[in-house]
Amino acid sequence: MTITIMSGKGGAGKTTLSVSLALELAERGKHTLLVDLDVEEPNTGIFIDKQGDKRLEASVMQPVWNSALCSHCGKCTSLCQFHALVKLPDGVMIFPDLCHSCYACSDLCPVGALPMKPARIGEIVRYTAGNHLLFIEGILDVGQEISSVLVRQTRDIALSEDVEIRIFDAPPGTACAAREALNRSDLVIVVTEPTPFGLHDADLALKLSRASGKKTLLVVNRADGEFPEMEAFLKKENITVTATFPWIRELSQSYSEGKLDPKGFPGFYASLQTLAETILNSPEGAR
Amino acid sequence: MKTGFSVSKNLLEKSPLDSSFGRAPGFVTFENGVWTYLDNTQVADSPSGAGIQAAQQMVNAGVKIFIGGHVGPKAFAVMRQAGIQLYEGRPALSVEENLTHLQEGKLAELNEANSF
Amino acid sequence: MKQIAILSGKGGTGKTSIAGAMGFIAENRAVLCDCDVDASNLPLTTASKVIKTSDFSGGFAAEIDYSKCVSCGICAKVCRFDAVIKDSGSYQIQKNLCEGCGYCSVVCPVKAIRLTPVVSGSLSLSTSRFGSFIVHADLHTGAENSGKLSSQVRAMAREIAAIEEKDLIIIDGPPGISCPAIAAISGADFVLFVAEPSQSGLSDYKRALELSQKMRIPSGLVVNRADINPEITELLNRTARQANSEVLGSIPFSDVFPRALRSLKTVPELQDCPTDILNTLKNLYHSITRPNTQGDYK
Repeated sequence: MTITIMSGKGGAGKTTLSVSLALELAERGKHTLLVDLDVEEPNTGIFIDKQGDKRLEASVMQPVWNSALCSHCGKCTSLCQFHALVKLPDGVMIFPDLCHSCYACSDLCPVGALPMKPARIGEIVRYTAGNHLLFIEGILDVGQEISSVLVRQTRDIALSEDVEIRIFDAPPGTACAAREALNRSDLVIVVTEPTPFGLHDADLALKLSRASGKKTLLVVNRADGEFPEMEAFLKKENITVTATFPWIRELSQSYSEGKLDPKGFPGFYASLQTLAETILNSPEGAR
Repeated sequence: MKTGFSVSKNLLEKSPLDSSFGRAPGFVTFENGVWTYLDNTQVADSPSGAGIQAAQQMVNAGVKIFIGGHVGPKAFAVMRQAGIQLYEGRPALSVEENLTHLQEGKLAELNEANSF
Repeated sequence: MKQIAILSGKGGTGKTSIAGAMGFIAENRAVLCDCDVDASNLPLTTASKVIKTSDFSGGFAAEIDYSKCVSCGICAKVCRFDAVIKDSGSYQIQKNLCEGCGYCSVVCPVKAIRLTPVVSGSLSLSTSRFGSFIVHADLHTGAENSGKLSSQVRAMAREIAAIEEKDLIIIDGPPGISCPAIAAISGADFVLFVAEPSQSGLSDYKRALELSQKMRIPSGLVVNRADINPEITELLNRTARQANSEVLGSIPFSDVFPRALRSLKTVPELQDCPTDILNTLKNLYHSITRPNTQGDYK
């Protein structure tokens, strides 16, 4: 089973819940793989006691201009919809950050002067993290503009691992990068916090998740006190809350130190148990 | 040497210099006493890469000196690579007046992109 | 005109709360813009009325004219994005996968494919309760090209600032460090980082700071909820100083932030906003808007 944990809003507690859930499922003897797909700001790994990294360079294919072969016909520059190639009197200039790797310029160059070559965009790292837990993270090089390709590559490597449960810690937001995570999942967990921002963004996350036709659970994190708008929200979305995680200052403190021990916080741990059981008892989990 | 200008509308030598580049409605070129207008409206409305396409248009037109407003880094790189000298002109003044300013040494040469 | 971008790397550090507070303190001197087009939250706490909204087209997608299509399948063969699928004998473009590269339309032997614009979001102009304009946008869920929409938000904000003769633009940036974040800060005069004192906050701040350095934009740091972890707060400040980024102060943990949010107001608007927090925010506003806020860059 593959689970995506997403939130729409950054800072709602995706990482806290992804790590806690992965630890809990591994402890229950399930072979679990935790995957950090927030390749722009990967920090799930901070909370994982991990060893034995295997690194894989992630790259995209981009055209490279071969001046010796070029006949200066200009076909490539008129083909490129992204204006990544410009024809100059003495050659072709390439803007790699505009390239979408569609291969049109390279395949259709009449003299083969634009071979495609790999260009590094980041790396994907795999670790073992205890008996039943594996951890994979994608890390985008700073300055790279397009992250969704690395999200997809990291996701696909994770999908090739032979485990019982995969947990994707999704990138924040609801744009293309988040979609890459959830469109290969069996179950989506939307994490929200009881604030207007939280609900606004959870609404977007639920829209994306439902548009993909995935079974979706809603969990509330950092609950402290009353938030009457929540009821109306649940009614409007026609969804129930699977688990509510309390706001605990000490937990925030231990999170800030890069430590997460769900068992140390009984109120939090009880909700985690509820969530884990709901997942394992769902039709998707029983498969 | 052929000189190019970004302009807000077509009045040939009286055209007002436009402060944008890729999104300018048109360009005027000047060589051997002849003023020519080049339409840029299609590029100006395109979703992305307007600066690059406009730079391509200047390169294709054989412009060697360019006087305009704000040029982004990619368009700047293209025109520099093609050996075009860039000058920061005075928007609102006509292209003819800008050319006089250039001849009198009153315009600063652009050594890096001044927009994005 | 001074353009100040507020960025955090990590989500949830209080970036939007700070942006709203800066907007409130600026009153009608500034134009606000929300570049977090995936999850646009700034208008929730500041906006009063939408003035206009227009469609945003982030790019193109291929479209097949079935009166010409001969189902040869060449389009499916050349597509690198698996956007062309065969369904009961006919080829179909999956618009959500199509990147609009146009390769299929070029090689189609009967010229049955053309590129058409795709509406993937909206761009809006609103007024705030305190007299300023706010430019914001909504990208449809799952859509691409949020960087481009971000750039359009910025462009509209500059346009409004020029027309209304405002010399300050406050930009609420998106989380992350890729194209939307780059679009939010490129050409800005100053980046204000809002970080939280946690290991992940530190790691994200370092990556975002590296981006602003690469782009040669001077920056400053404010640490939110600083007392949650004083040691990491110090580490954050040290990281800033080493990068010649200004240390602009700390905000202690306070329930005034969530309370302001819940009442859909900015923090300084609350009658009972603690004086120390109000003063910190005012000082922060003065530090980032004073004319010569410059680091080693630029």
